[in-house]
Amino acid sequence: MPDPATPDAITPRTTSHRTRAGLHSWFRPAAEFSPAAGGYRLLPLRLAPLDAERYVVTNLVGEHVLMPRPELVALVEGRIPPKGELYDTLVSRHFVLPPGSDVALDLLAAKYRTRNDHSEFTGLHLFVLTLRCDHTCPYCQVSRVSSDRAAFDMTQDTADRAIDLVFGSPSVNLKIEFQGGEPLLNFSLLRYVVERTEAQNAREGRLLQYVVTTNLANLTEEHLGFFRDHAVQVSTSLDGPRELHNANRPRPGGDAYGRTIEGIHRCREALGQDAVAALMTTTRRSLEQPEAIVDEYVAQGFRSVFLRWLSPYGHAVRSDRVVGYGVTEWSAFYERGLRRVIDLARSGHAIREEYAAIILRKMLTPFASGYVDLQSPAGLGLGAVVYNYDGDVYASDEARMLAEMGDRSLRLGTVRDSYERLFLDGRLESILDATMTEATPVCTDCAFEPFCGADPAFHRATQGDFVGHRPSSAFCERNMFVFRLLLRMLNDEPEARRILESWIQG
Amino acid sequence: MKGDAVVRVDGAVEVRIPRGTYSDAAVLRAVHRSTAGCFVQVEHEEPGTSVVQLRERRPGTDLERAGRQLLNDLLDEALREQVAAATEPVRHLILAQAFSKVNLLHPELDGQPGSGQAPPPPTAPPGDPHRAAHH
Repeated sequence: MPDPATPDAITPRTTSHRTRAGLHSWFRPAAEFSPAAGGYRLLPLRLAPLDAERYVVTNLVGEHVLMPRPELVALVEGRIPPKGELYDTLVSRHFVLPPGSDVALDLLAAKYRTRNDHSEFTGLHLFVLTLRCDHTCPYCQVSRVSSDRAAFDMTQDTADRAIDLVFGSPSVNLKIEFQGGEPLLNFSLLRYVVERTEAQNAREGRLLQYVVTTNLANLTEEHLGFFRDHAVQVSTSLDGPRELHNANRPRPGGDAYGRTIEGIHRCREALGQDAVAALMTTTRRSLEQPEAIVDEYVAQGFRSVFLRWLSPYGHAVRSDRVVGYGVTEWSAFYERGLRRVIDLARSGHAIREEYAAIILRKMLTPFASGYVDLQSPAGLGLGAVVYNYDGDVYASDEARMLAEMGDRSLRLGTVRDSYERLFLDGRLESILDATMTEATPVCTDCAFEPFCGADPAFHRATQGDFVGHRPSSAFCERNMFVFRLLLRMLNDEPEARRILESWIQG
Repeated sequence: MKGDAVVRVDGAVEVRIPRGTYSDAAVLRAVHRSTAGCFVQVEHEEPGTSVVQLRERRPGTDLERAGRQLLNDLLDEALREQVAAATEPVRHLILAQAFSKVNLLHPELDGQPGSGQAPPPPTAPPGDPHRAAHH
């Protein structure tokens, strides 16, 4: 028997375990790794047309190859010659099992387990401190109220109960994000939540982070001092150049862009260059200016731009004539913007497109993205939870937005409910059941399923139920456009590939 | 089968599919993909033809193109069925291995040094039913 004193040592039990070649019997002779004539075993794969000439073929964990249809048919029928670059690629990417080897099964299982690791439960906790806001953005997805209505502020009692729920999560990593309205209009409660959670975390020992999403229009030195002292990061909105940003984000005085840029500079001076992130919202006005938007982000020193799709909630629905657009229009915008980012990166700028980076991590690594809308099951409740100003608890920010439209189907309960009642009594589970892409019609057969996810709030808002009708789903159409675009770039454009691969490092 | 499989009939397009060429499941899966742009009706005609009728759902849908795309989608569905038939057992094995607490592929490795698994408890030798020798 192996020496129990050295449990990790690989030692032969007896000399009979050594092969004639002198290897331990756990190693296979070299001859077993030589290609044999025919006889490979097909491994699970899915297929989808990529373009007029090629199909994309993916395995269980998202490794992919592109091939013309005759080659794909030959693969399925066992007719790929056992020598050559194609066969080697198919073996190395786990599309076929060569004779005498089952290593790929272990590797696929390990990668699948890694991709589907949901052991870190609910790490992101969003506190909607107030609905008050001094902006009147036409695409706002919540029912903003004017700045003087304190009845729409979260109370300390509600915050206390929400904090108890935060620490009810077993996740080691906890991020508290303050949202609104404009959360700085309820700064006293923001301060209270940070100080109380820091005190409690001194006992809990979690890895605790804070983010405030703010338009920066009301930023003061007091705010900055507090953020510096408590390592609060800042996320703001920057829709593009001055004219576009101001058109998208009207406020009294009409100087939203100036205030945002000034606020970004002040935050960086006080908190550090990387303490401020920005997100843009794509409106109809944005569609003709993707390059200008990207250039603005580079000019303002950001290393990331997220060319987002405007979700159909709240004022965005009511302002559809102003902000609405279809998938075809957005797709053209996205490709132009992505190519601009790649061009700038090639010329030495440190800039990446964030949605592409999220998807590329799923395409090129065995790791999950952590992005709520590209997970199966969806990240509702599992990844994030929202504590609304009135004490209602929602499974995601989009769930809250859906409730603003009168649909409370993704409301989990209130902060007065126990953690077990909110997360473990079956309601959340029944919602998540509808978000398993492995079992959703069309998704279950889709080659892009390993890269994709479910957005039940979107499908509920646009198609009336959590699962949705995939053939007519804008979520599906939009994502497949991005997947195909990235796959073509990775395979057909070496310079673009080099840039794209650099984005998966984090 | 003679003639074009895609024909215009009374404001709709009909796609005629000989039964037995594709499974019923493959036909329904392919037809489902058409429902974005088309309203679809599937009927069986004697002596052995499935007729898929496509009518415009999304304004501007090219019904003849949709009909020809359906034929291509049928080929893809047939290929998917071939793949599923060939790989379903090994797919189940991989997924089971991914989430199993024991090694399903190489159970002989469980309990080995470095496997992360505790060795199995020693069995009692004959004549020692209470494993007294191990206390």
